[in-house]
Amino acid sequence: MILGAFFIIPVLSIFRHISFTGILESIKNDYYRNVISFTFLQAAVSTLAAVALGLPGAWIMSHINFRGRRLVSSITTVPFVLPSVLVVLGFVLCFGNSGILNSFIMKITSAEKPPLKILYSFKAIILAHTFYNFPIALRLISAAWRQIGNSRIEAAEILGAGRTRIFFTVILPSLLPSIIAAGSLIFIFCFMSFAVILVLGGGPAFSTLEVEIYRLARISLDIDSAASLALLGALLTALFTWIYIRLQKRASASIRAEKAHPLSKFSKLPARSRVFTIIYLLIILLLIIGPLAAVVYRSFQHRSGWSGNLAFTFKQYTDLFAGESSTAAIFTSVIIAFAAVLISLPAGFTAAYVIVRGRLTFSGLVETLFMLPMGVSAIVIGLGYYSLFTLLPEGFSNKGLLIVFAHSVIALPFVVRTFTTGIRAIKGSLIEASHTLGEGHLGTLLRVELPLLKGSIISAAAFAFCISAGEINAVLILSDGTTPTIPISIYRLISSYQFFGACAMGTVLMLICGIAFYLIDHYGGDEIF
Amino acid sequence: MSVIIEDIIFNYDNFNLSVELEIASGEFLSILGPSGSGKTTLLRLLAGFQNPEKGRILLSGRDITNLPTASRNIGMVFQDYALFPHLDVYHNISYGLKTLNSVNPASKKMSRAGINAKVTELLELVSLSGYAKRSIDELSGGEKQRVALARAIAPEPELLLFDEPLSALDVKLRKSLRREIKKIQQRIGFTAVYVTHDQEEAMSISDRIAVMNGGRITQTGSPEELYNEPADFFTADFIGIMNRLTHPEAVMFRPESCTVVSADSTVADTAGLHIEAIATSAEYSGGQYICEAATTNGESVVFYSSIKFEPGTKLFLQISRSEIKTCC
Amino acid sequence: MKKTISSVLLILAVLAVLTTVGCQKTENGTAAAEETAAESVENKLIIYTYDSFASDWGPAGAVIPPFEEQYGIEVELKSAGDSGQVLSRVVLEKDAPQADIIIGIDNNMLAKAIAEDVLEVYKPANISNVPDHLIFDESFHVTPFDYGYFAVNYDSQSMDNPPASLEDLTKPEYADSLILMDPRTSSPGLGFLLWTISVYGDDFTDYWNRLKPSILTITDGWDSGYGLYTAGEAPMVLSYTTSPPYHVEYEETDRFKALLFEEGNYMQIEAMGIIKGAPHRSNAEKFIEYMLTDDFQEIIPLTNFMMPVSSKTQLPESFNYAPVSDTPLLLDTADIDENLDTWLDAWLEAAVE
Repeated sequence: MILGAFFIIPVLSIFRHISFTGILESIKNDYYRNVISFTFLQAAVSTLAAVALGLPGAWIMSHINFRGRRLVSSITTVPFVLPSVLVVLGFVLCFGNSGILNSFIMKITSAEKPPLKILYSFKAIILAHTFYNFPIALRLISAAWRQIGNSRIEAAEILGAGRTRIFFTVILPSLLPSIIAAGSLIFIFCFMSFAVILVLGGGPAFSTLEVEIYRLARISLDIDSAASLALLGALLTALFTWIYIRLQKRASASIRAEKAHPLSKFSKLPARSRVFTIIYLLIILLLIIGPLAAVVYRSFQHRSGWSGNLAFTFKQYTDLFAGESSTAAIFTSVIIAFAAVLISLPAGFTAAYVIVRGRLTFSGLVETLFMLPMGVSAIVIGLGYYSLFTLLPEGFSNKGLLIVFAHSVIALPFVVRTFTTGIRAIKGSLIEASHTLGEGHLGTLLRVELPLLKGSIISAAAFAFCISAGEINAVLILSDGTTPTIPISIYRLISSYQFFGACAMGTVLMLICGIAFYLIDHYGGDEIF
Repeated sequence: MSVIIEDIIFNYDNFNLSVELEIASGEFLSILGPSGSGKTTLLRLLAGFQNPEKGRILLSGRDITNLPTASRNIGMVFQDYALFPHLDVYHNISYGLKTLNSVNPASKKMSRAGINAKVTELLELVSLSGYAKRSIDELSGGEKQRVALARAIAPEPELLLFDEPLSALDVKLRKSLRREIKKIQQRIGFTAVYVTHDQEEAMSISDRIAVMNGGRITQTGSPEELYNEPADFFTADFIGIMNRLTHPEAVMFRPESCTVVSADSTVADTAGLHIEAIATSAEYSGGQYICEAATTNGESVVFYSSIKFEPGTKLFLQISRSEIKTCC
Repeated sequence: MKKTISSVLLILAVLAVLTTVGCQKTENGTAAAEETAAESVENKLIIYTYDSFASDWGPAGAVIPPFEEQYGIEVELKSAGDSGQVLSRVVLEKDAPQADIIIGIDNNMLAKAIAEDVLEVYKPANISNVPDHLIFDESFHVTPFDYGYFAVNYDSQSMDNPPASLEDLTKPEYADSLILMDPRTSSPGLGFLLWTISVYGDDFTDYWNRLKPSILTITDGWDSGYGLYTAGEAPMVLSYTTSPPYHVEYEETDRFKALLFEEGNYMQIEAMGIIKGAPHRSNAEKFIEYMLTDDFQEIIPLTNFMMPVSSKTQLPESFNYAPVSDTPLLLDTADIDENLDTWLDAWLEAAVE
């Protein structure tokens, strides 16, 4: 229902502008073909990189109990909520030509030119996408890894399999469904990305489909062509999603998760694992915390003196909280995000439950449909929202509710994905056992399935919260600008030159998400994280 | 507590199952058959995980054919234990004692004290006293299956289903546990349907065995009946070993009916059938050898012997005529 | 276990209540506004504008309330993203116009807006306040309210020999030191492209080829570009002549300076117009008249960081740091409309090569 109202209607209303000749023309056009293949390439490489970086992290999070484990898990999800402007800024402050890393090396080597040319290249795009997306891999894969019982690994060890062989023959197959789930989300995310690609790639040589849609819709006001191109993009992502779902089904048909294994204490690990853990955490620190910390650091700065040098200050925060509007924006963001969690979780769970258990004839197709909100160009959905206004009953003006519904729909792909993977991992015999013990569907759901899905629920809630708290397009359009949220305040601060203030607001956003994750984790129990 | 399966038909892909069976109250019936014979499907139809296209299933005279599993008042012990990993031993066993499902005929409001007493009693029954607070992953395979058994009988079901419950355990444990299951069944007196592909297990535990093949029950009877009077070669060969020869005449006989004799005795004895064969292999099985030999026209014969025959040894085999089976 | 579940339920319940209360609050607010609107339909004015105009730091807060008071008209200000998105919305609503005024159509977008036939002609009585060279729409579909020059800004702390012309920018000494914006996604980006076209004509792609080594990166929007520049990533950025006054006014520094180029600087003139089929046409006319008065015009500099169009308006002191070009450049709007797609394609080809 929600999906229908807040996604299909806007999309359909825009897609009525499409023409098939339009789509054909865009396929025939050499430039578009290049753009599409580049979009595909960077998404594929980014996905591989994010999964590769996420795997060791998933091992750590699913095996080792160390101080600050929860903190690490919360921090890794934070990049997700930051508006792209601040992500770019943080990245440049950290890895840019005059960023922290280069300045540091220049200082110790007294080199004159920045020694590390990291940004403005293809690898910068991959780096940034990895930064953005590897938390998805980390969360989904570690939840699955936690469910691989020791017994299966022990059995393999008894059979004489070496460590590498155990990984490839026992562990990897069990993780495959979650790897595929994470991979598909990351892929689509990167497929739709454009600001990060343009800025950090160094310009139009790295253009994605989304930039072209943007140009058509915004500069050329050619909504018909924009819709055609957006449909092409949506069809492509739908195709990939469908392939992924097929792969995942095949992978999860053979593997069922069992009981979670206990975590080991860090101090009891073999030295090699300890070194590995520390090195990995340091890399994460550099890659994730670096850009975030740069943003936080900048929020405590201002220009002082006629020379305009930077100095430490709390001014950004006192300015921010001097007016009512910032506090209101924070309140609005938190309420909307929690409300989006409250709506998208039950909706997404129901959808996932029907997809997995419902014996639908076209369950793959249905699952693909639920992934689509991610695959349709944001600007096209944005334009589509206008048609929502015309459909609303006269006098309906609850903007907050509209935004909450829109955010729930945007979060659905993550929620549904997380739950389908989680539900598929529950052994069928557990459900059957519950029924033979006299418990009906509802009782089984409450007493067996939901408790077993605790990890999935936590992840889904964290994702939904993040997505809502960081979302900007739906709020901008649906609220008519009357309900500023934190990301909107950030954009507004920046467009009035207040970059330091924007960093302060960004810090507040990160802090709120951190607190929210902590609460979600804390009250959700610590099964997974 | 009797079960009547009235001409049920169930089709799945290319497989079709058609079964008629009656199980007496308090009877321990095993369904024995190779994989793909439909024995698990039959069990799932009894459990209500699947519904037959035709026919009826009556439990104590009550038609449960299309009743949801939860309302059937049955219990089940699974091959993979299916213990709830998020609950400890106590809560696994008490799971069925406080269901939210009001349609369940066994659903009764038990007091906390009543549940405690029941769980303690059951733990004692399966020799796991003191295990109540243990978490599931601390248990060994055998302990897990005992908890699963206690959990299944806790709500006092009218019918208990076993789906190859011991196949994941090692041989020794399997033997002791099946004795224990039998003991508990006799003590409580529930009706049991026990699916297995292990004929030794079926023979040792059952009052009656139903042999299944290709979606049909080929024969039912006590273990002795099935062994001594198999209805067809399939049953005969599935329950124990059955030799079948076409030359010099068409006969079937068990290995123990066949003995090795000296060449000259073959002439004298007319009560026996005499065959010439060459030993091909001998496996030691403690106390005796399980030997195989090839007849002159290449058919294989299995027999027991206290002496080991080297491959290639020429043998004269004698089969007592009275023990030659006549079926099929 | 039980405790955890019940505390989660409790939190959810509290949140649910908070949400309904929160939503109710906004509902009541707008509901009240609508009630009064229903009583006196003719006393309403609905304005569409880009987001930063409506923000706390934009002009809206300072210009709308005095207008409402003076004329007894209730203004409903709706913003939706950037000016391109606002125009898209008006175009999509063409059949059933919802608003009276659109704020933010600039010289580069005008032709599209006229071609889509979404604007009414209105010539305000006090247009005489505006110097002729700023009246870029002689058909008066839109009336200008502020303007500025695109300019390369530089950081005087890290660069002592700023370029004096577009041509200078291509010198090797400026390698990797300029941040530009993509004309497909940003107005300054489009402005710079048109600037090079107005200077180099059909040879603009040659210029871009020569300029390329000097470009550090091309960002999606002004915000990331200017953010990178002020973070010290590059000494030069594409912005406006009116950017330095911000740093003077609020940060008390003149280290960031705007450059006037020998070839001239391309202009951006922002305008507003009455939407065709506006439900409150006469109120819309009043607003346009008001917009040209000092009350409105003197707010512009320090909120929108653009120059007011009225020649009578006093500028704040910090605007001494906003240089004024002797050779303003402006392409004909009809020309832009006709060639924009070709230009963008040609630019893209040059930029991607």
